Amino acid sequence: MKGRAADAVYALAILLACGLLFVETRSDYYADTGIGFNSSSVFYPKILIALLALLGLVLLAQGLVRRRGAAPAPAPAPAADTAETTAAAVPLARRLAPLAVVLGLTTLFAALFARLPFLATSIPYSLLLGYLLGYRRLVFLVPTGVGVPVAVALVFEHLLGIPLP
Amino acid sequence: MFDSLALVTSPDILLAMVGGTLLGVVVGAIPGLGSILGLSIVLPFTFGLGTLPSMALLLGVYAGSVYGGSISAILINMPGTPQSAATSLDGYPMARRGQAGLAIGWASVASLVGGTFSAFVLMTVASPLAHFSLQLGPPEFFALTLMALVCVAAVSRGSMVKGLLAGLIGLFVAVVGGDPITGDLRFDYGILELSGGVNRIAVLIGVFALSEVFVQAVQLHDTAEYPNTGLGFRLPAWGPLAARWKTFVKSSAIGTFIGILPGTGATAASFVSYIEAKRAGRFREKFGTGEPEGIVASEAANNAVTGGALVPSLALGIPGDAVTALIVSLLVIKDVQPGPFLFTENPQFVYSVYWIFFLTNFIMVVFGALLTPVFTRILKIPTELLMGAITIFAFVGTYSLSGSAFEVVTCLVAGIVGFLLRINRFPLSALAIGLILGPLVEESLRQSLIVTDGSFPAIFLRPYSGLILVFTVLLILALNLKGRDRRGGKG
Repeated sequence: MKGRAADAVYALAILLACGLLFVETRSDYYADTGIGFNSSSVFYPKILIALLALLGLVLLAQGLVRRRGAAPAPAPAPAADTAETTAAAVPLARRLAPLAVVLGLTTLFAALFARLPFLATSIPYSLLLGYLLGYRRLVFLVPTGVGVPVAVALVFEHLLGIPLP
Repeated sequence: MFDSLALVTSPDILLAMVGGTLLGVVVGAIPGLGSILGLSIVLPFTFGLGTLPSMALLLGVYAGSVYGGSISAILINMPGTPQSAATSLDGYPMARRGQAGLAIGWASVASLVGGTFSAFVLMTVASPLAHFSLQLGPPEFFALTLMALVCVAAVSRGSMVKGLLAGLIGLFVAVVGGDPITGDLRFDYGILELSGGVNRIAVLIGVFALSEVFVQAVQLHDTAEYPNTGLGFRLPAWGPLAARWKTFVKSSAIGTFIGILPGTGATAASFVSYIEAKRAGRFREKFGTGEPEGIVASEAANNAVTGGALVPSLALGIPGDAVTALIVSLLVIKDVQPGPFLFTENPQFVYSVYWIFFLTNFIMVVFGALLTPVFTRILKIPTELLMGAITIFAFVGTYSLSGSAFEVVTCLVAGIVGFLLRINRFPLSALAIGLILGPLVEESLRQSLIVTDGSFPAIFLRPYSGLILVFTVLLILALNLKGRDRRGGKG
């Protein structure tokens, strides 16, 4: 998705979220809050929703109004964040397969994380993730896939005294 | 002060310092990981440690990772962290002509000078600032938090609108849970785990560590060229060092000052310093061809930022970037409230933090020297193996916050949202600052409105808050003009 179109989609998502949150602030529950105080408990959230909606409209306008074929935006100033530029520069469609693998496996890992013993989920996750992403050198994959979860379990449960699932 | 030095040389704190710095240097050196991810990974380990060992671990990772970023910038022209991007301009040409070890030597000395310079500034400035801030009320604190948020958004990569939106999203996530004034529950949707608010650490780990895993998944096939000669660590000789002393001092001062300002960060500092050295440095004609003064300018400045950034975080409890936001949130978890009262009620803790930060700068250079010959191997660790380990650390960390599966789900959702924001260039540092400052912004705003009888403009009509507002506007104008000049220059 091109930058301007993506901006418009993100802006619409923000506006939709603002609409839903605003409806929530109008519910009966909040009408009874803040009695005896100078403001209700949704006074401040309403300010944030208004500002979010305003900026969402600005983003939408920027996405829609910029002329087709206009020069791209100038190179932005550097900042303290990592990697977002590189990710943005990559054509996403071409690299969706590894992303889908990582997203699917990680969601499954999160769903099972607290239901099964830690090593029973984390070892298969490590091994599968590496293998499905195309890493085939088992001499490195297996020791890492087993060693990291075992080391984490030992450090947390025995050294730090923090119980894992 | 010297009692604290004895305290920080106790085995557990020393071990945390050494371990944190080692991990920081390695994480900083691996492109795409960086300071915030390193801190997110070690954060769970701090739950089983005391407050000072935890701070030693985090500060070690922080300082070490900023330094570590220079190593990959020099060796493979791919900065491990954005703050080392300017280092590659002269570091990589040195590596290509077989002087990689010497270039890392220059980066090490510059990082040490910048880091210790900022440690001295931290020691001298933070305490007076904290005592002065006792005179400030809710309107002034509201103005300060607003300044931090707006500055972070204004100088973020991408558009200012996206920076402000990210900051507001962070502020709104912090709203979930109990109202700080009335105690009423808000936006909890009947979910018990949300009644205490969204766990901010789980969100930060998800947004920074887990989203990195997803980002790495779309960058899997990127490759780099590795040097194989001149990898032995070499310190520069005294003569060339002395010839560049002005750049050491000037760059350290630039970095420290920019570090104190909210939002600007190490990347801006290293570029501002590099441009200044290129304008006025003694060896300016050779910049870009492998001139050590370029490395000095970038590395002294970006490491000096670390000490500068700790000044407002410790003295006012207001973090200026995502890294210090994580450090502040750790302190709050440990029942240590950063801000003016920390200096009056627990001065030994503050002095200990000073010493930890000071010593960390020496430890990181030792690791740089020891690890230089093996760094090309460390940089070749396959991403496919790293991703699994990062996810495990992220989930273990969030699970150990409260032993609840809900925090793991929070981390996953935050990771996906963080990834979606990153691919469209929403700055995550603004989101982190909003999330951490959220409660302070709301409390100070609502208390200010009580003081001013509900008048918004009156908040900024008080002397200090008015001054802060004017300073914020001037700062944003100056930073935007500087950015425009730089872009214009490139064009």
